[in-house]
Amino acid sequence: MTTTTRTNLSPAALEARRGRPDRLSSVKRRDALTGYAFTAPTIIGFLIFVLGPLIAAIYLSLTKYNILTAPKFVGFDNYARMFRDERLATTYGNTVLYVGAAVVLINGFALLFAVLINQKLPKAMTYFFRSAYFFPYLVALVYVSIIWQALFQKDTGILNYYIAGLGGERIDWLNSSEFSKVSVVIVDTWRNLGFAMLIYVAALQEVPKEMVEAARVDGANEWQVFRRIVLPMISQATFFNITITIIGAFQIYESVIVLTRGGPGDASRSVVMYIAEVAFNKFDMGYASAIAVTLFIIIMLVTLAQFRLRKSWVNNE
Amino acid sequence: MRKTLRTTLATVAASALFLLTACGGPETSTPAADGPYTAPAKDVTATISVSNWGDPGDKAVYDEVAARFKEKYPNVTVNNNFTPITTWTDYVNKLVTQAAAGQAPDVINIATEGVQLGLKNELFASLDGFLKNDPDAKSLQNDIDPKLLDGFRKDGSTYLMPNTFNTMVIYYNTKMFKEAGIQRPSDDWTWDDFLAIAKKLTTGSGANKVYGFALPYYTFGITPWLYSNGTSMMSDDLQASKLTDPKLKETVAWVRDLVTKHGVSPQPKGSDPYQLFPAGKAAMTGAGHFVTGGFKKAGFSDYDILPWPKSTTKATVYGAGAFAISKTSKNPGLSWEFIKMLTDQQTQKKWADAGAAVPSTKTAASAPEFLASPEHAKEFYNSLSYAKPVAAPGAYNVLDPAFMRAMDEIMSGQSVDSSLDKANKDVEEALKQ
Repeated sequence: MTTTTRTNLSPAALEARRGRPDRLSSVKRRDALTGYAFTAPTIIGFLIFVLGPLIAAIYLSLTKYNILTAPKFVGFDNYARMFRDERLATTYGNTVLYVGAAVVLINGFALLFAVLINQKLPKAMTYFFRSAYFFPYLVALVYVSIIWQALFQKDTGILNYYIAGLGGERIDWLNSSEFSKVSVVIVDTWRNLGFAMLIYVAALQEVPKEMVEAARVDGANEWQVFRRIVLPMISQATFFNITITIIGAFQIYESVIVLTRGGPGDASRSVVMYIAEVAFNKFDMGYASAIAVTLFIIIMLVTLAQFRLRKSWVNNE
Repeated sequence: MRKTLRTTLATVAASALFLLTACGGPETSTPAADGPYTAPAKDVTATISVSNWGDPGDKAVYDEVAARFKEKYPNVTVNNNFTPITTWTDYVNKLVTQAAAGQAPDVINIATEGVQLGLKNELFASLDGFLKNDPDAKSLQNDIDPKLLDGFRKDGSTYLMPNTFNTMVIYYNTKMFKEAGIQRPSDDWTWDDFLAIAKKLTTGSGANKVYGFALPYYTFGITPWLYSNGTSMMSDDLQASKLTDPKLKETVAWVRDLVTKHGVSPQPKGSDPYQLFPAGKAAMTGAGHFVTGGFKKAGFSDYDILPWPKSTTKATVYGAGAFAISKTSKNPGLSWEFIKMLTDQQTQKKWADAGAAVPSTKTAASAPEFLASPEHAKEFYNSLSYAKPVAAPGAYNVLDPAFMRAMDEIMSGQSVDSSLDKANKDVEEALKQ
């Protein structure tokens, strides 16, 4: 029977059994196609929404383009123009300040809250605090900004009410060139620390208890345990958080626009806001693209540098 | 703040409309300059599209016109594209989408602030043929102050028909004046008179604080101070920025001092003069006619108006709304008929009733209903005689935010010189483009 069956096999099947490459590759090809089909949405999305615009922006940055007439090639004029643009210098300065503040404050507070939440607390309390700190991240900033603006009001705001009550001077949170930046940093920190905190909490729970116990037995105090054991053990989470906050802070937009609209003047304006203004108010797409390209390069360099430095302080797998 | 939105929208609309023309195709049908005008036949079948913006009150007026037009031309479909005031981005996106679909509007509603943008880019069709040969147009035109039409001319041709305008005047609370024993000042009052009155009317503190003057804090509202001190943001031909003019700096410093030195005005950020004034929290404010509708609705009527005080020159600012026919319109005749209806006496009266602006014809502006309140309502139309148009070059979309950024800085205590120098650079860069 078996031999009959075997001889009765179609030539194609026989070829397949003999391992003829074209047959096998057709199976493989189908597998591959299925694979591509599954990844296609992401790849197509990336091509259309990321790579395409990126290439377009690089091209447009070399042109003068006002949307209405065809782009005109101008070489590196737009890039040269950046060096005499005081407003760009101001907005970049503000952005760097926001990045610095975000890295320090968001990560500092997030870690602090994560450690506090990670203490032995009743389960319900843990959930409550975790949700409470994460909540700002879920609420649309546009709505919350109305409340923040009320809190920040010079004459009627609750912040100044307490400051004045303690004998301090009323601060013009939103309309002074110094404090408008501070207000933005406060709201930005308040909004983003919940997310970073969650990452830290997850990492803290992964720290092996035996190791901590062992250190304690060896006579390490709480600070030493935290400094020598916990911090190195969660360094991957720290790395992730710092990278994300830096990228996020370079692109800060919403927190500023809803609070101060960049004002007074340009005092709290971020680079991304300035790009949007040049592109969609002045219709100077070429120049806007050039600024966007520089921002892209800066973020890329900073991120690359971080990955380079990673080895020196991140406790690896 | 209504005017601010209006002007921003106007600017943006004009900017977006270049795109429309760019996509509009080669067909241009300019009306004949000679020969008698014949209106399109009553049974003509066509579609015209209109681009309008405003608030619900404006929309009611436009809808009414569209309905009336339908009676006259039953087979003409009017696509009444009305954009409620939300954000300017929305308005642009809407126009861009329209353009992409090949539906550039035939009739374009735009304000003084956007007219130069449109003219520079040859967006509008000349109305000369209609104005010359259509008898209806002649009577309408003769009823409109020539000044209003002058703003819409280029090289001797007229491109837009105004429907309404606003001039800035001073509003004062008659009751508060009476209680303080202050007489209505003369029509030739000066900045000093103004400041003295404002100081006298600034009283109380904390929750009971009442200010002498609530500052209208937007370009159109600050401009009368500039004009009445003999300066402007732009040169008369709108070709050069004058933001660094010493006279302008002097004026801006004086306006700032109202808030920071004399304390007769509240910090403009976060306070709306058109809330403070009817609430009795400010004895005076500056505004166009556009606030009267809101005052009426709020049941506030203890006010009257005065000309803007002068420093060196008696002057104020005006801005007009107007309609143009798109150069790419396939139905200029019907568009013209529609514009006539948008600007005729019947519609003008509706505008006056809505309290959104001053109607552009003398007839409508001198109707008893229009003059009923406030007492010196005549000044609304009269102020046009000494008013200058808002300085709106093609780059108004850069000038307006740059000037207000400088004002914000100055109000927050930064130097007048450096703030205006920065704004000036921004504007000069844009004028070069």
